[in-house]
Amino acid sequence: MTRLGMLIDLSTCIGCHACSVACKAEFDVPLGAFRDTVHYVEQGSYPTVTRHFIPVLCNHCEDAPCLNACPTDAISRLPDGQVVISEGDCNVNRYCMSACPYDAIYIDEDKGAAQKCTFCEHRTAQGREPACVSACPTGCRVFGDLDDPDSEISRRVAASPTTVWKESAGTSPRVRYVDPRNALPLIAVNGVQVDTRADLTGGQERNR
Amino acid sequence: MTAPFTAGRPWGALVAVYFVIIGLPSGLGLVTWGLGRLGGPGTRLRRYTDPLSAATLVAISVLLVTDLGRPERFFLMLTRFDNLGSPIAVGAKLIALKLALLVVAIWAVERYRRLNTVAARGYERGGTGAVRTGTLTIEPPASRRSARDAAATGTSGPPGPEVGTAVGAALMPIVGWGLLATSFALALYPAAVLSRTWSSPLAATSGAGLLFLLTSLLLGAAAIGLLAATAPARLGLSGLLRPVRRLLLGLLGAYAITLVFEALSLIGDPRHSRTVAELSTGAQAQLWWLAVVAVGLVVPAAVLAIERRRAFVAGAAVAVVVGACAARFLLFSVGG
Repeated sequence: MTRLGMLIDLSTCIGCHACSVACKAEFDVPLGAFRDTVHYVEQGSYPTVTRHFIPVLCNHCEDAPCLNACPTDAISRLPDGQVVISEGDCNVNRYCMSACPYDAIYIDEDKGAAQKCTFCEHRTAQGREPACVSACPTGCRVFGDLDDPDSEISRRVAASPTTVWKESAGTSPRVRYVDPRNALPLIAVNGVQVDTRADLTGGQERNR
Repeated sequence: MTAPFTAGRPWGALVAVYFVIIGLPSGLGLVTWGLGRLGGPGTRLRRYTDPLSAATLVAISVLLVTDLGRPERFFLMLTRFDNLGSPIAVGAKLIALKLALLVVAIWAVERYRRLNTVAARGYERGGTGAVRTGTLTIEPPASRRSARDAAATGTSGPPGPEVGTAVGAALMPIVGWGLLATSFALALYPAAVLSRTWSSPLAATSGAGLLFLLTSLLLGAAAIGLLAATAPARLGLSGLLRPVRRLLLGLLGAYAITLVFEALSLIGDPRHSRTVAELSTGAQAQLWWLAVVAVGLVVPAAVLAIERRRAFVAGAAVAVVVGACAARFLLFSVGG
């Protein structure tokens, strides 16, 4: 049985946001929302300050809280393990958003449904890589079958220590990180990664 | 559960109001049943508490549907049975079931009242008092006086929405037990829903389920206390004042003990340090100390312990409602 997953090597991510842009273009993600983004986390103080680039997306958890929470059964798991949302069955009650500890789900007002990363199910069904993986200029993302010992992702996972985001949440994510500087936990305690004051509406709110 | 770092709270004011108010119909159902079992005027009380419960459930259903991004798809929560592991899916079905049971109960109580009124009038005119309508027979009250009482209050007979038909006789106990079970389930249901979210960390603590249950009971007892204290004497509810006062005192005692142990479980736990700080000295401190502790607990407990007059019981009941609502709101909002 195929068990699709992703490995992200934080030591090679340069924070270029090519993955975010490719994802936005692939799914026409609205302004202010992201299926896939990169968080900038600053650590330390002058003169020993450093910045980490941490790509985040839906973790397609083995024990997905969103899947268990959805009251209309709009969220399901495909045979290859991707957790996807059926737009026609979503009534936008937002319980999945409340249950997801990764902030991976957003509401698309135009589609009238909750949306999130699908591991580009439409591409992977054709044997292609997800858009974010194809766009990454440093190859820091590796996508493949975690159960296939010959796949690159399995070899990379076996070759170097990996971790997951918010392991304590007990969700068993399928997105694993190579995190030699232990940056992942900084996301949870450092809330300055995104400037929420920015006007991402393109002035639409002001013009209403 | 760890909160995401960028997200705003997915649920807003409407859902907060929903989780606060849903305690009322649950508490009314449980307290009405309890008072009936203790020899109180079960059927007479149901005449007022069941419509109030039904109206509240309709109101919160409207709130829920309004809050949905796709309100026209609300029915999916009721018609889909694929994910009964979702507390919201179970809750929506429970609300629908309780509403249906309440409609049956209200119909039965009203029919019972009307037939008893007819029987009482017939008895007063010198007849046997027995009324036969199809297969339904209501036996006359035991005496002329009780017949007059029944005619005045619109009720008589044993507690519970019982009617004399064979179908009714079989159905009404099921309706009664169904209402009790759904009331109890809906009293605990907010804890099950909110404990799975990162936005309500208090709901996942050891005392949350008990606090939701106790605040439901307090809301129900306070509402009945208000009814007993303010209703005209001809409705025959004034006899409830004493047992409801005692019940409120007992519930407030249990509530205080639960709050103490909930605080003990939170204080010193590093996972909840921010939550405790928000409650004790932070943004929610005024609501906690003033509304929950002072108005909702200390003041009504003191008033009910000292005073038995209607006005004081009514005032204490209002204070209990304010405190219980504030406590439920804090369980929903703190730490998110």
